[in-house]
Amino acid sequence: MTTLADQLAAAVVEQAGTPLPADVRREAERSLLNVLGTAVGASTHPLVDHVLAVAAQQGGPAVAPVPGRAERADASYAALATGAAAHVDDFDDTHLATVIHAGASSLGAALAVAAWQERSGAELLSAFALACEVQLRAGVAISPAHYDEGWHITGTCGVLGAAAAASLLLGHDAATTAAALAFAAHQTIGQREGFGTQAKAIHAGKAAANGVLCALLAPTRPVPLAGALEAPGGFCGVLARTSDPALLLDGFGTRWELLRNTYKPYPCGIVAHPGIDAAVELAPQLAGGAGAGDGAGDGAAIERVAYSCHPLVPELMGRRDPADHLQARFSAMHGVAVGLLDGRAGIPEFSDERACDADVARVRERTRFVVREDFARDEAAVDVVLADGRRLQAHVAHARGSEARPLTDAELHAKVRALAEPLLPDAGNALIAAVDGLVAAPTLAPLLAAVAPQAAGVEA
Amino acid sequence: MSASVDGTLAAFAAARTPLPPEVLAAVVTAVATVRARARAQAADGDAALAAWDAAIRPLLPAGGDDGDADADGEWGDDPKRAASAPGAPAWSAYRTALAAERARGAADSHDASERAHGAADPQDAAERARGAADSHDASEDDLLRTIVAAAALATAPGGDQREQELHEAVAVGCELALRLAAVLGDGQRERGWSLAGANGAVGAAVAAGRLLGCSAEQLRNAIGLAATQPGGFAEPLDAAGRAQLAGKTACNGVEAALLARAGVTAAPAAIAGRRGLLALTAPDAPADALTAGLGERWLVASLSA
Repeated sequence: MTTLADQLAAAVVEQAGTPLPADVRREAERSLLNVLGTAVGASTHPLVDHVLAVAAQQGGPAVAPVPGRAERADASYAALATGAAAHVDDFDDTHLATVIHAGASSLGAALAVAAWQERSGAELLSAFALACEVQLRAGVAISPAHYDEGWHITGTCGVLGAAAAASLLLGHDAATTAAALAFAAHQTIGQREGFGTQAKAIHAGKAAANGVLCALLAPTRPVPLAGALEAPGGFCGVLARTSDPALLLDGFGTRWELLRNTYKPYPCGIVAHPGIDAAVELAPQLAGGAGAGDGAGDGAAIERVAYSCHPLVPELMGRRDPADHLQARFSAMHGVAVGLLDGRAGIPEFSDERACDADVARVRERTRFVVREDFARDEAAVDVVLADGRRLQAHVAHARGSEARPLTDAELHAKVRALAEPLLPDAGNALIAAVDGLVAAPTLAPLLAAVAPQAAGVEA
Repeated sequence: MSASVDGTLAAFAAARTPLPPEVLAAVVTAVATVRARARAQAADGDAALAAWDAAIRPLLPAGGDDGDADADGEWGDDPKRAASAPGAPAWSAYRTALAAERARGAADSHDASERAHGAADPQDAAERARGAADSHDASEDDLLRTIVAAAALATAPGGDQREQELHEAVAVGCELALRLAAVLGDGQRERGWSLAGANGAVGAAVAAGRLLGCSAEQLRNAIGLAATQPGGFAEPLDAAGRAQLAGKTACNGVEAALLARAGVTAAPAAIAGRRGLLALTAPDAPADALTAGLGERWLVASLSA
């Protein structure tokens, strides 16, 4: 009578003992590079300062890095800071079937423990891939009911992946890994009420830190294994009205959910991405024939905007008047407005300033949602009416970064360079090279050097 | 409506509150009981506690000023000392709640096995079932009290003149946790939540946040960070697991207060908001009941010794 925690742990430990299949390895590298980029890009965010302040007060010896920062922390707080940083800009990744952002908590736990335990590049990559895979499978098992009920699935499922990765990197056997997974099942974090506040990113970070803690406590067998995942009163049963626990294991090692991970081209909720694509496409016409990248200036010519979209857009991102950069990430209208005005929608277009600028607010006010039940989630249309009566229309069948239209390596590399270089000069290329060489790297030194700030030489 | 429920709860969490005598008495008992249980369990040489100490060591600040803290395993002997010596209040709260609940759980499981060997008369069986349900509630309340008191003991500034602050923090934190459990409990129990896990972190965060000097706004964020972590499912937990959950919940609450004090923001309506604790764990519960008679009627006063 082996429990689901035992079976899952056995599958995880067995897979970790063999090289990743080539396609999985490639997607793991892309996923890892993407969240290393977002973590470095957000490394000076105030949230990271706050977490590191607590780590300095209450943390253990500083043995693990936080990408982009000179400070180090214990494995738990490094996981918390890194996971939160990777997610705080809502620029990370999305597994569309579950809406899980798997990379942030996986990176948080895997990087912290791998660096602390001085693991190899291949071990880090394998643990990161399995962290993604375990949490995505947990998500599949409880989707769609779980998210629909109001949970932030990135936090609630992330902890299982983080516990798996931390267990692997601590060298746990299958039985001890099972104990970590069972304890992790009980560490629920993530109400969607926290969207638009720093709590959302804390969900990803705390999932990572909880995973590290569960792995550290696993040798003490903190909770019973039976039922933790599979019982009606356990993870699957409590967290979703309908679930299928068998999906956690079904085809593990042969069918990979990680292969369906996608990377965000814009730092905001993913359901807004096709609308932003359409707006960015129209921007040059608004600018009166100026080159790509130019937008509509102050947009004074824009009379009104009809934004046709999937019903989830107003449900998840219906905010019209965001007050800061976090709220802007939950305003699809903001994304479309800056797409039209600026011809792009990157970190600067989702800043506190841009969230409050009058020209953006004016376009948001003149935008209305046209909910289209027949639209796919990665589909949208933007219809702009100008003061002179002209109409500009764009329809996007599949958003950039969707499963049907994945970001190319070149697009992903451009994203990572843009994220890393303002903070760490030339770091983008170093990071890309380090991830490329990771699987053959006997130590993490090249990767850690690529995410260390320039002044890190003074650090012991 | 929901914003006002959360606003009222947050205002109560932050306010200086004169404690009626029966509330003060219950709180003094709660603090003394939890402290004594934790101390006894540590003094008992509980192997599980020693295993926890060993496992958690990489996450503890290196040594206290006098360097003795974890070297001789003494740091958790006295929860107040544990808080001040290694300077890790969240872990200190974990250890105190873990130890206290292990002490209580040991006594409780003895009682339960006595009951299980009682008479086989159907009337008696019904009586016992009712008694078990009652004792379940009582034990959940006891667990909540342990969680909040452990959080407070871990963050209480030293010195007897600060006892009043400690008592107020425990009273207010416990009251909020008990009210959540009372109002949300039916729904949570039906769904499979551990009432202590689902509601304890909020109480712990409020108690710790007050003692850590959080502003009213920081306290509200602490509540938000705690309410988003309703960890723990009742069915797959045994007594030892419940003790771990008590420890982790106290730890989460203290850490929520530390993060909020450092500036982390959270949902302002994390309890009664559309996707808040109530909606997620007990959607049919009446939110208004959370604030009815708040500050006048104290559930804390009915806690047994």
